Amino acid sequence: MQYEKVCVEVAAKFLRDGGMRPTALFWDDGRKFAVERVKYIEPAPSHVSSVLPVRYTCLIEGREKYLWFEPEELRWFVEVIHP
Amino acid sequence: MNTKRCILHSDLNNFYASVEMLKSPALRGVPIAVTGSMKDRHGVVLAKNMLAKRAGVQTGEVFWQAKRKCPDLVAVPADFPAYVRVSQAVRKIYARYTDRIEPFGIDECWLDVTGSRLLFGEGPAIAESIRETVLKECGVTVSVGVSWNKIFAKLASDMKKPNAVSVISPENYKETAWKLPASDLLYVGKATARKLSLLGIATIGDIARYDEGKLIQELGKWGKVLYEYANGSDSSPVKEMGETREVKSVGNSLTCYRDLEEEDEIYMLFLLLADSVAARLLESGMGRARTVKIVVTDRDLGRFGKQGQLEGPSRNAKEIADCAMKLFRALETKGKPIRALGISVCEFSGAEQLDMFGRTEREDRLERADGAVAKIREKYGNGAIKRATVLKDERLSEMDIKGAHIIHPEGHHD
Repeated sequence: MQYEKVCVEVAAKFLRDGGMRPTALFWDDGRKFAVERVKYIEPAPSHVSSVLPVRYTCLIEGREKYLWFEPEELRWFVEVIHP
Repeated sequence: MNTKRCILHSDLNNFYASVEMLKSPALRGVPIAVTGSMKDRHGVVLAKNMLAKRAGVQTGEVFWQAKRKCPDLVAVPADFPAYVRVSQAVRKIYARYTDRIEPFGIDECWLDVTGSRLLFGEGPAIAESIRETVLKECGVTVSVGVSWNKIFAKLASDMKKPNAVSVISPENYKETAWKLPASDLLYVGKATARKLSLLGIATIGDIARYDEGKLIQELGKWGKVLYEYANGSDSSPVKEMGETREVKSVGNSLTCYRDLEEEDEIYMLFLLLADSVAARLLESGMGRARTVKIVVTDRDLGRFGKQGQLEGPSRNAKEIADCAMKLFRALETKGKPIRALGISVCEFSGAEQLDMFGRTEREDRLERADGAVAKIREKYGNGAIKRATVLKDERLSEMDIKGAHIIHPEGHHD
């Protein structure tokens, strides 16, 4: 299985008491996906090039998807799997 | 509960190479060497992964030499900021278990978890939990050694790699630690190992069973230390995080991106190093230094050292560099190209004296100039102001010794 790192545009909400939650992600072809819920936020390595990213386990269209944040680059990415 | 101390030694496996594999997952399964600059193919191997190690690649060789042993070897330029970032993230994980964390270089730490056992379970359980968490959160592996003293904990962390926990306990140390070669013991270098072998000592067990008095006769006070180490009676504490040691020397060393042959090049590097040493000396508040030591590594990785006195206590970079150069000239390196240089200063005059009259105006001026340079560097970065001498080689002058070189393991025994 091949993993590709795809950086994406993300809308995020900054909480009054600290913390950040992605609310939507925007695909390059113009599609928009709302993040229904963030289930977990945890430091976790990805399969692609990234040092110490933070993994957001999100509910998108009813399914669990990982969205990664790279604090050093202030950048979001997803892994696209090529079987 | 066990009344002995419970000490862990956690060692990040092939650390630089592991971080590089996080940066480029495609490098997994490829032998890699983390090198200094690769321009001119003169980069020196700073670290390697398991595959490169198996092919016989050694730290310190030039890349093309390593490549002869391992034709598929891939060179990756070192990225110290990334290594520091991962190292700090891992230390934050350690800090969930204890506040007694003593780093030894960038990739090793001792942890005293004696007081953490009521919360987290016995030593091996804590070690297991740390190992799992580091992998799960940071994507790198650690080998953790568990024992009742720092020396055996460090031996244990080397017993099984990567990603493993090993225990040296009062029950098994004779079957584990004692079977290891004497040279595995912390601070037993080539010279000591040779002396020991002349005494018929090959393993750590041999040291432990040797007559202590005779060992002291042969090796001086070092003999007593080794005897204690080998018997597991080392009682040196794990320093608390942030606890500062009494600074006994301040030093910097640098492996150059290419071998140096000309004297003025060597002087240039000494100046760079002395600049950094002088700045750190100023920060340490230890006053001035009386003694300068140099360590020189030639192309064949032969190491030479020499020390001498400054004309008077000083913390002026140029005076330190001049003294280093004088020592270098006295050293028999037989004109061999130089791979690495190091300067350290010691024998400090202590905190500032308030005597205004004992110093010459010249000393004052030099120090004011150094102070101004230090301020500029603090504000605009270490590269903002440079000595004209070092501009002869742009790449050399671009090296940020004080900023980049955060890795200087200190002695465990001081």
